[in-house]
Amino acid sequence: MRKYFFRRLFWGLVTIVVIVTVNFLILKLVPGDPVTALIGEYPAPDEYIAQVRVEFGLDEPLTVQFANYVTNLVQGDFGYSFANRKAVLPLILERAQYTLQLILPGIAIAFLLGVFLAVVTAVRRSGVLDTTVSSIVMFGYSMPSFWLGQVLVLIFAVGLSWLPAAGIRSVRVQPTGVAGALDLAAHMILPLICVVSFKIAIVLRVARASVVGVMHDDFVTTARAKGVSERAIMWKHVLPNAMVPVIVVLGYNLGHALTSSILVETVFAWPGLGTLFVKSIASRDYPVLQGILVLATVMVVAGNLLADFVAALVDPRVRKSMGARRGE
Amino acid sequence: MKLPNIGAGAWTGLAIFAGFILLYLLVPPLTGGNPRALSTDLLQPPSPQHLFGTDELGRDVFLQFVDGVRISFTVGFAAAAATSLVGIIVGAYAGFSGGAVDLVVMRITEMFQVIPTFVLAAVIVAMWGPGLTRVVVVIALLAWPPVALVIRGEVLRIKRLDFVDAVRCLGYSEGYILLREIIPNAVRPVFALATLAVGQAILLEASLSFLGLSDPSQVSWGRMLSLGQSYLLTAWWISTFPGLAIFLTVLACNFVGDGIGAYVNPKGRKS
Repeated sequence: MRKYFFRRLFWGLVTIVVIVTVNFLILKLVPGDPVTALIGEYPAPDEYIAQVRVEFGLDEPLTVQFANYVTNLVQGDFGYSFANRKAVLPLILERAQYTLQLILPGIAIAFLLGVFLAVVTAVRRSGVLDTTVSSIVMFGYSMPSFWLGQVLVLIFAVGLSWLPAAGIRSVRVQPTGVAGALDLAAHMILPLICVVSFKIAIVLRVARASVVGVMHDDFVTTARAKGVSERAIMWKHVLPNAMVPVIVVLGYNLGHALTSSILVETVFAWPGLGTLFVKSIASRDYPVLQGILVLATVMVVAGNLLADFVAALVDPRVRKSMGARRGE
Repeated sequence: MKLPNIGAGAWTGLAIFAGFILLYLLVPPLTGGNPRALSTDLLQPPSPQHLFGTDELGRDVFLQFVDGVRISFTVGFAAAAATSLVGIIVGAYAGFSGGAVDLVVMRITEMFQVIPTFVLAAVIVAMWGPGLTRVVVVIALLAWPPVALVIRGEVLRIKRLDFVDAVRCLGYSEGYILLREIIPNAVRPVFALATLAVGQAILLEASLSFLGLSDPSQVSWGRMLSLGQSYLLTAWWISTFPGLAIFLTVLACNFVGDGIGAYVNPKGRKS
């Protein structure tokens, strides 16, 4: 178990190193001189260009530049954002909190509701509810989140004027206390619907398939023969045994938490990491883009590791299969 | 001829595809309109003259909507084909070689699965500039792992079957056996994945265009949505129709993909 975990950790670290390398090379392979990107396309004296080149270490060989880049990353120095006049890491972390404020409730709702609906529809397969839910799943899975956002704005903000169209807080009056919390909640509803609609589709699909699979296992028949009620069979026997794929999807979602709302944030002008990402694309702020990419990769690796670890903790069969894999 | 039993959903999906292709083939010759032609009818709501209204430069939204079929379908099918090709090559190579090669290739595949695809695609396109070929290449480079995993599994299974040894006894080379005997028997599940990949590629292209990462000289649904975002409060028609088009196309791909998946692997159909 521990050996397995460390092996996964090792490969996770290797992955991060590879991504960082790719990241570095992409920037180096970009057409055009990086000095031009730094000082702009103005006629500059040669001495000044040479000075900038030395200042940013661009006169060093590629290997030395790479070593410097990695050393800086490890020390938490992700570079400097000229567009925002700020160091990249604090900038990213500051924006990340708004993204998490939106994504974490989204993930929680999608999982609780998704697993609940999966169990209910698995019990009454091909019923009205099952057909309805599976159509909704298909629609949620195919709907571009940014378009869903626009449609929601058109209906609930423009048409009915029930909810604000964009932002995180009201601009004119800035309520505090309970009123402030309600104001934040009102701004959150529409983006939250967009986040949940896609995630719940995946959760439902995976959880339902897993539950249906477990329902046909022998131990379920045994429990039924012992006179356990159908409800208890479902919630106490089937569901815990069907959780592993759900945990894997949960880990995947937590891993992608920072970047899965880029499009939704753009629609609703939510001040999170997504809007920062899009703004940095527009202003060619490469250090920020790279910083987000590196951080996102680290998160994905961590999310996967966490899911593997939790799955092994809750399900002895996963631990066993790890032992089997070790022996191959 | 007997039609394959891929289910009502998949046929609906195919009908949606056919509808878009018909629109694309029929509308330009019938109306003779230019999707990029400017006019003085700025931001006009839908009317008999402009079925889907006009945008901020007086261009006809319906004609742009129809022209957008080209970009989305080209990107979707080209990216799915390229993704499948890369996946088949990598997966077949790993599965057939086995041993250390398999181990290394699978580790690399796992690494690719961890990469946040959308973020990296956006960064690459932002740095290298937009362009359809680039978008297709980026998708192919990032989206092949699921295909590779499926093909590897199939190749591992098929290479142990007796008929492979029979072919070997006939004196054919290993390369011939892999290319002519094993891969043709292993590709069936890829069709389902490839159809789903068409939808994912169309969605990715639209998302990149929505962020402004598209070629300004091409009309694409994502680009229309991106421009429509600025006029959302005053001109709902600019983004509503192209968004509906993306939704319907991706839905069609998912329907067809699921249908083919169930048809190819009937055991999975019951769940």
